[in-house]
Amino acid sequence: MNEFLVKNEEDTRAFGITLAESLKASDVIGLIGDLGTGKTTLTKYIAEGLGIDETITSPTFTVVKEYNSGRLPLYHFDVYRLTSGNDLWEIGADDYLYGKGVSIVEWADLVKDGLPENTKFIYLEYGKGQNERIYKWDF
Amino acid sequence: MKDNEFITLGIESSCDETSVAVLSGERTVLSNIISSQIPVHRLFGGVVPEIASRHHLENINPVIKEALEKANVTWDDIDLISVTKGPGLVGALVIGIAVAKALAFAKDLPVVGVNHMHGHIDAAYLNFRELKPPFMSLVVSGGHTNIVRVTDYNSFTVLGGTRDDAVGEAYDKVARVIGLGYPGGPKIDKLAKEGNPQAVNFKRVWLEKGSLDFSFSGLKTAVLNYVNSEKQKGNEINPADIAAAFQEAVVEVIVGKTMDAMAETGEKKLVLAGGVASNSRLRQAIEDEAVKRSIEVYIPDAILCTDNGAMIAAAGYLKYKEFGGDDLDIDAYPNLDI
Amino acid sequence: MGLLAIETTGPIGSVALYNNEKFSEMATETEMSHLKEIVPLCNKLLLREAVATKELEAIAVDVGPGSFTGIRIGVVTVKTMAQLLNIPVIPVNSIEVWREKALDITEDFEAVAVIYNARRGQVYGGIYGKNEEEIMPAGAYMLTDIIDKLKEKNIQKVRFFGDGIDAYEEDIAGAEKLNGVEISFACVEDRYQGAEMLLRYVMRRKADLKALSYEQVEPCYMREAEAMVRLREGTMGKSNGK
Repeated sequence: MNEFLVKNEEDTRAFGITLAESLKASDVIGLIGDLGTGKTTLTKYIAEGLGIDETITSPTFTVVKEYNSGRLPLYHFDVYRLTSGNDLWEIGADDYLYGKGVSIVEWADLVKDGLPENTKFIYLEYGKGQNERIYKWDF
Repeated sequence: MKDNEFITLGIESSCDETSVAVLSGERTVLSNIISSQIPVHRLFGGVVPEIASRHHLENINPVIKEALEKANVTWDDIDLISVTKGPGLVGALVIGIAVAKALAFAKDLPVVGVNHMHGHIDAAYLNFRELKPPFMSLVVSGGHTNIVRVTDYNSFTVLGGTRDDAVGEAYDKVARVIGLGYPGGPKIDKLAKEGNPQAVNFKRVWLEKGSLDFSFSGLKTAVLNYVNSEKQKGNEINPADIAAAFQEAVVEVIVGKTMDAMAETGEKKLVLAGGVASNSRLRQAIEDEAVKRSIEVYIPDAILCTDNGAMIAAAGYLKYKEFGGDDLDIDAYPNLDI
Repeated sequence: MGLLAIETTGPIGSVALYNNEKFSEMATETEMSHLKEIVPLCNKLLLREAVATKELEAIAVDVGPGSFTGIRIGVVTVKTMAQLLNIPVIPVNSIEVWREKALDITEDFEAVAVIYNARRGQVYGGIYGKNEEEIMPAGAYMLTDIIDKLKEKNIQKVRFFGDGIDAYEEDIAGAEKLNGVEISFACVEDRYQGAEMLLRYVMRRKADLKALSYEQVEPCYMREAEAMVRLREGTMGKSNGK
């Protein structure tokens, strides 16, 4: 498992932008971490790395928001309100997950059974200091 | 037409609710049927499906039927079909839009696609017959937090919006942190009454000077950090105090910025819209400030603040009156801006 | 006799009309534009054929399987039209319709294998032989199930249809089990679902198909069969000894 220590938001930004450079169409990133670990913040910076200039706001209420101003479409999911992969299918998520853009799914652990096999998971954890986080991934 | 009045059928399915309403003229609601509020067995005639509430496809046709029956109108009476074309969840929008187009085609009726946010704002006209633009509107819901200046029936200017979480969402997440269920808004509102709003001083996030935008994710994190650090110290947390203190931080910023907007523009009428408009602390704070500044406040009934078809019928009627109908090729616009 | 048909389960949407003993059809020009285009197409077609909506006697609709969003758009559009016009709906299964192709069977092939891409090596599909003989019923399968069945029934010449070709052509052509079998793939014009084929199927099989009231019409998603779920979770073979 790879690890990255985030000391502040600048580190998150660097991580997000670097990750964005490697993304291709139909890539799916699953973000797993508690409330407050910075899933949406990381998403904002991945979006920045993709060249998206629209403001990324939380999709908790509508479950998914799409952004088309970057080099690839971005489908930003927050499945906090769902309970399983079946719920994800119910809302028509497959059209996005297997589509031509990049999907980022916050709270991916809640719908793991509904995500594509090639989903790249990133685990976000609290670090020692209040602003610190630890990101872990194995892809 | 019915009784010499123009009849609009309004269809709302942008997110959680499937709702259909019948509107007479510009402001008289003949029926406003919301799927989650009907006993399921009545909707489906006794056969209860597994999960009805999120299923727009199963709900929409029975809800249409109920709306017509309750309003005592037939298809021959309908003059216009109005439907939410965005913003929202595309999988939900698609159902309402497909239905609206099918009706318009089958009966050769005009159809108009409207902005869900315009619907929320226009809901006030249904409760307050004398209300006319111009006025300021504060739209606060699970998915939106906006200050919108309404200069004419179809003229909306966004003065401020959220840069991260909508206020309704912030309520839901904080509710989870302090152990309350979903939906968090009403639960926090209720619990806060028993708590001390000054118990904790959560940072009020104003953003840069002069900005009418909002940012609530920092507040959410502050509440979380507070709860975590208290737990680490071995202290018991008092959910009522936290609810009250959080709510105070939210309300202070929302009301402050809204009043700034009023002062800057000189508007003297304020319309509240969206589900969070039902929040008692927000209403109280708005009304207190309004009295000091001689501002007239309009807060629609709870059913009109939530997502509903009547507001869409109202917005559609007003849009059609000025611009006429849309073609049959209306699409879904999940990202539609106000 | 005005019978309208709507087809939205594949990438291209289409509508067709049977009236005065004549079939006519129109299709969308872009892929996955069902929401935007399907009703305008109905309008254009009926205008061209000078049929008013109130003259329609029934509406046929492909209820799936296929594209999740496509199915929902087609089903709710037709249910709603039928609700307003107070006419019945004839729901048709997306795979069964391909029995029409089985009638065309010539010396070129002896079986029609239809496959829609359901991703992850899965398909919605079926196999039909001469005289619409059902060699494999419409269902959700692994692609390998289809191949196994063709081998089991010793099919020597098979033609594939459906968008599963676009996803799995190489896997099929290279399948060891099909060595020596004459495999052909329908050309693009014949490959996908179409409203006219649906209508011909309905006209021909009127006696067997049910006309329902709009309230009774349901989508047919044919979600993953249990076998596929278990295969993916690695629990296949644990209770059936394979």
